[in-house]
Amino acid sequence: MTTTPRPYTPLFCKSNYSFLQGASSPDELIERAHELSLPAIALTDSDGVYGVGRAHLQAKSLGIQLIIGAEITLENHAPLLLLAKNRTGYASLCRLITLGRRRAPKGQCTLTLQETCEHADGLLALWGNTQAQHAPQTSSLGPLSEAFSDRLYALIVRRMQPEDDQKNRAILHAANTFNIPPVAATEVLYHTVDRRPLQDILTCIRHNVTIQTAGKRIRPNAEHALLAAHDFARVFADHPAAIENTLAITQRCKFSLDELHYRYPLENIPPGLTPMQWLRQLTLQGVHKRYGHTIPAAVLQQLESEFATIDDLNYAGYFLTMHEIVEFCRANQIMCQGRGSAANSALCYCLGITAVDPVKMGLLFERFLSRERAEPPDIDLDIAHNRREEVIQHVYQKYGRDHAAMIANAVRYRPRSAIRDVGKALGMPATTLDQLAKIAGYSNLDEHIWQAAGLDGTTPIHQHLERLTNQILDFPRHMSIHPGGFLLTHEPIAHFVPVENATMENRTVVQWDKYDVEALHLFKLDLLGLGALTMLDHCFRLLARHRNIHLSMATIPADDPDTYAMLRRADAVGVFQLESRAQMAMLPRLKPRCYYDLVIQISLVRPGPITGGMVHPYLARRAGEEEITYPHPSLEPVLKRTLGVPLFQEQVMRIAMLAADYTPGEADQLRRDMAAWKTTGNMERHHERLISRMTKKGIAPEFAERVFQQIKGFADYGFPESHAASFALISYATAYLRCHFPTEFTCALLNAQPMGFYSPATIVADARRNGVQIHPIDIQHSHWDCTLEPASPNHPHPLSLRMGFRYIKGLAPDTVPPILTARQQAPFTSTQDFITRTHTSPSATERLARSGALHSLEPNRRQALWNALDSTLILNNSPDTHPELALIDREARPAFQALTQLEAIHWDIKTSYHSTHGHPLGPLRPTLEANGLHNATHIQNLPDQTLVHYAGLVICRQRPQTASGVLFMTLEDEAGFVNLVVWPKIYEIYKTIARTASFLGVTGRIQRSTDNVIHLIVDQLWHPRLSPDQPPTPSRDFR
Amino acid sequence: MDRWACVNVFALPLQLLLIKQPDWKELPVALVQELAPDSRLLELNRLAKNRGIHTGMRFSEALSLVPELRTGRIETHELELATEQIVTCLLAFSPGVEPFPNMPGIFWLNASGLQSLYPTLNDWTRAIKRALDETINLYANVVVGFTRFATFAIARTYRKTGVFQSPEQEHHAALAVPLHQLAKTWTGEQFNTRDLEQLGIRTVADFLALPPTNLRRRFGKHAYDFYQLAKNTHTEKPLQPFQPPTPDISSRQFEYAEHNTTRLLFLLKQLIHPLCTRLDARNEKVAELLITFILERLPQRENNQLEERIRPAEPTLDERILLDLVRLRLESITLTAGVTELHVLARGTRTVVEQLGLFVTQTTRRDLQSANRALARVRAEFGEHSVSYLRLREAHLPEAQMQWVPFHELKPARLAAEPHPQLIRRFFLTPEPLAHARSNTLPPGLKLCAGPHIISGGWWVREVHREYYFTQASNDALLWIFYDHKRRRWFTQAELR
Repeated sequence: MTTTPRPYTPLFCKSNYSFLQGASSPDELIERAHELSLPAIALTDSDGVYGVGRAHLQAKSLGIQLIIGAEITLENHAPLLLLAKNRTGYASLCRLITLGRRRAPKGQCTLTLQETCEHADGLLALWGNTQAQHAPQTSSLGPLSEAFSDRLYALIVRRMQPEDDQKNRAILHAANTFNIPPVAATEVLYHTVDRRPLQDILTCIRHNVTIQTAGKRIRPNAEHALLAAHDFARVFADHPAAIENTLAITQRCKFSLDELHYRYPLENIPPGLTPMQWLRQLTLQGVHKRYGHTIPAAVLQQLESEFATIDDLNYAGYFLTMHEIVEFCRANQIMCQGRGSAANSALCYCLGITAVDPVKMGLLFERFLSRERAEPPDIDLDIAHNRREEVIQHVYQKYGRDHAAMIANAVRYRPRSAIRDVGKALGMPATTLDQLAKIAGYSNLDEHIWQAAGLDGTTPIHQHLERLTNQILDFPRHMSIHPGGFLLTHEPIAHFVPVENATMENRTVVQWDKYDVEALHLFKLDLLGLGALTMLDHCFRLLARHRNIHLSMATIPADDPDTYAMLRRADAVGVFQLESRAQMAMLPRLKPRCYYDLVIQISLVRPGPITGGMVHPYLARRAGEEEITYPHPSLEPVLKRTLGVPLFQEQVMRIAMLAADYTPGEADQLRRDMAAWKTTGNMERHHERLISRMTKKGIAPEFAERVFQQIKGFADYGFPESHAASFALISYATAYLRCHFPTEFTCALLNAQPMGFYSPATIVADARRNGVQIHPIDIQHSHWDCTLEPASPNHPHPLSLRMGFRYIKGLAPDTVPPILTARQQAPFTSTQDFITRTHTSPSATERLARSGALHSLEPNRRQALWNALDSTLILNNSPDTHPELALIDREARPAFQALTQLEAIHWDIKTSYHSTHGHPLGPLRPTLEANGLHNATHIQNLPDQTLVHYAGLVICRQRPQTASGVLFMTLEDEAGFVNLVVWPKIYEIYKTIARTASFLGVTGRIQRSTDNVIHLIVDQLWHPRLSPDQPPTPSRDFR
Repeated sequence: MDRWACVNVFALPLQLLLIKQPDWKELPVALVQELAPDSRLLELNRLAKNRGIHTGMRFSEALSLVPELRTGRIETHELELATEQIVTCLLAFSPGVEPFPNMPGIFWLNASGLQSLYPTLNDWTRAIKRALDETINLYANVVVGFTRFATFAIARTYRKTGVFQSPEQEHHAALAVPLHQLAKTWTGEQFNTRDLEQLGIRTVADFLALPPTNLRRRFGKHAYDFYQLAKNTHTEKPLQPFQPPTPDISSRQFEYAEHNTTRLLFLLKQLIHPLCTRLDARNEKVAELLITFILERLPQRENNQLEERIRPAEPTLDERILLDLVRLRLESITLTAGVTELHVLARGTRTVVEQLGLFVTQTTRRDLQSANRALARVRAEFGEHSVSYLRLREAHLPEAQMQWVPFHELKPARLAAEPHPQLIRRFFLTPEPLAHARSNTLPPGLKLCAGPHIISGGWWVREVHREYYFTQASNDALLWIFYDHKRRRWFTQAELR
């Protein structure tokens, strides 16, 4: 008669968050434990709790108990397993790991036995056979027994190795001496045995060896899978008490992450006020600033509603913190602006966190916060990118490193990295792996990729590679840092989650990524860097200093017709969000005339609306070419502003609520599923629900299906209206400055680089075409940044732009202050005078000479370079001390030819990324014209379907995923841009030249739309053969 | 020498690669330094250039543009071998041939005094080209002129074959040569031609117009040396003809087939003696002798050659020791036919004067040198692999944990730590199947002592899954046995004592 074995709890399990050790995810381990009907499972990753967030969710959904623990590495002792008995124990564990991690370099943990004993409160310790190679030292038992008392267990582990019995006997003997109960475990590294090869490969990757040379680094057998109860009972048949004790421990460890009660840090609240009262007070102060004395009733109503929700959810602290950060930025003149769904909140608007009036815009507050979801709000704060670190350090300083840390980001295996790492571990040639990785791109390794690489995918080694590569996908490789996510807590943060050092100096990071933080309903704030804000800040300062014009985001005149006229001409280089090739092509078609048009323009050119097929219907309706209809009368209020076409996430949610009777919570779930449907496939569960409910309300099934497809399209990334509205404000501000203050705008844009879509060369060329006077870098006039100078008397703009030293390639910033100091005393008279007075290094002098910055001292740039190449001599020697100088002086001074204009431009671009002497194709135009190659202006004026030959410099190449393999290119010449469309068939023929050429010849046909948007549809690509001196111009890569 | 010729074998390494890989003729091919993704492309064939890739590009970048690109590298020894072949070929046209060490594929020839052999120098150059093409399948050009520098500069730059009739004509042509073509290849160390080019200095003539001392201050010694070389061609060094090294080999042919090993030993003694004398003159000692016996041709035997390698315990010039080892080897081998030829090749090594050894007192009774001599004798008598030892390796399978490695030299013994009483496992070189034990239950007659211990793995080459047990047999012998799950059989791995 067979008896049902007693269940057990696996207490020694490492997931793939024990980086490059565990070969299964926490989800897989828990799912397998559930399949095996085990009552609980412990997760004991190495020196961390990285995976407990998702493990907790999975365990909760399957109804299995999760014991949270970790394997702690100790100095001079075998590792120790610690399990959290209760909330106190979990805090002890997190504090202990934080202690070990903070003092060690990134990726390591250093702890002593004594420190572990000092953090024993609420923890169970499992001492014993944790390491295959070494026996545990009994010397640690005394201190552990004293610290952990009855919470210490002797761990006997069977790995089916000859050493097991001897080690386990020694452990049991010591345990007997100290009266410690035994507990049994196998070392679980994967959920099922078929992951064993992957575990071997991970070991090889960790040790940087191949599987053929790994030797004893890999495990000797496959006995590391989760065992069923009867198998476990068989393995430990001689130790029934040790099996029973696994269940005793399960009974004792009742801690769950649900017990984490998060409280937001509350700082500087005036005495006698609750956080909510203080928030209300600050908001009402803000409302007057925003609306003056006459506050619209709708605003007050909206605010009251928001107050009630925030009070109910007890979120006041979060808003107070955001307000404090925004105030800090304001006090320190750091430009910032909230983006994302926060712009749906009138409270955020009144507190100055966001800049869009949600009441005026009719934005949906529930998109931001709802009682039903009770999820923490998510405010993303854009900060001028050059000053973001100041804000980050302020947060650390204000809340302390004990209460603030940045959120981690798990760097995961993707197809390319998986092929490279797994293939290397399999001992495959690096060149083969490189080829496969390149062909695979973002796709999984499959037969098509083998075929494309000309390799036989059926050989055993290739089959191993394919199988293991696809298994390792999405495994965490290591942890890095989130760009701007912060976790703030009222209690010390190390009571919630271990904190460790980041690679970057002065940064600390928690062991959870943003998904864990969101899943556990913790508050995070995102402090993100935005170059456009830096640029605006620069521009406002320049206007104040040079023109005495004091502008800000709030005081820029609204709805300026000239600005919109400029945008309708697609004249938008440097305009935030509207400068890309696709946006510029859309501008003449959408013809923006007001702020809301910009909101739509920004939202329209997105993968979501494009793949959802919303662009053309919207444009047709806007142009009056198509009737504006609504799927159902109830949807008219929702879709009216976008002419019956859903363009924003909020609209999708409202459609679901109105047409399919979704609750706000269901609608938000729909939004989340839209965002993740490609990975989770959860959108399909809405399909039936949406269609049936819409049909029931009288919406035609085919129309309902179309609405669903449109909704699904949003999964490819669509904007919420509030987010687009926030961005549109910045777009308008940058467009206004570009239109009215082009010199100041260009100066600010150049000083804020790197940012945006275009290279400095294109920005400079565009500014010159728009009449901005630009002076080259000059040793007598330039500063580090680009500066403004009075323009020539007859110039239409009052100011001209002087390029700064920052644009000289490789010139260190500390070269410049001595130059400025010496120049203030007296202008430089010669190269020798310059070097003598500034002690500029030879290499810096050479860079200055090459870039033309010494032009005022030596007009012939070649002569200047010849002089500069000898700067060591000038600097270190004089004729008195160095007799060789006399000989040198006697030699005839060589004469060098002056640079031609083309050469000068070439030298400029080579040395400083731009040229103020003209466009590289300017001097070549007569030759080009002689070959029948006209400039961009000529192309723009040709009629539709004209066959044309053209040559230009490539400044942009794009193959968007939404374009089905079509390559879009922008070519530039001295007169402007020409946009090319290369269809997939043509691209296949001319792939190499299309991807590599910087100066490109094109034969194709003009395609002119009714809105006068011109594209050149490519038939052939070729290398123009004109001059060997043609300078190569850097071109953008694929995006 | 009044006439110089320079032979330029175009892109020699790439040509060698294409010879090595004849299937690649119709494909884009690139020569790389290393077969690694970040390795740079050194040379390209025409098809590769036509596809838009260029030298200096990284291999991975080129591959992403031209997926069918084939790449390879040429080892140094392959290049040396090819150079020797080319020299051999060129020696047929001139007694003086000098390969250029800084650039494979460049050779200078003495072109003086050939009038009686060839009607014109043009005929001579054409004959050289044809010979290289037909015998080694390599393409080259030949320039005949009056100076080392000018012939090199012109051959390297213009890739045409021709003869200069006057020094002035040659000088004029050399001045027009682009500077960047020569700088690196001539000096082996590149000076900054990029800067010179930016200054508008593009040809040798432009370069020679620069003030030399100023040039040295700015562009360094290599530029200055190159300047002097190009300027003062009359002081350039004379041709350094290639002299193939003479091998340390002695041979003897017999008019009859010698069967008697004693006589052979005496004959070998006569051959070894001059080799030792020759090596001694070069301060070298014999590290190894390679003796080749050419046997008389018999119709039933395909191979009529026998090679024996003799290594003394340490390099020596003591002919007695060498002959003793030769004798031992001769006694151990069987000559299947009479010997008609004998060749002895001696490999020498530098003599190390061990003065310190004179002052070292012998403190141990164990004489290492004697032991090594004895081992050398064993090796001489029983073959190279007769003296081996077991080296431990990191592996899980017991038989994979040990490897037989040839033993070369005995090192001083070290005292073992405190002896540890342990059972000795006597391994079977190949695990022995246990008779009548087919099922996976423990074979009858064996008592389980410990186990199972599992070793499994090798999934990437040959899967193994074994369950090991320590057992006691009825005769009290302790056996280490395993059940092989793949072969479904029991085996004995070792006996324990």
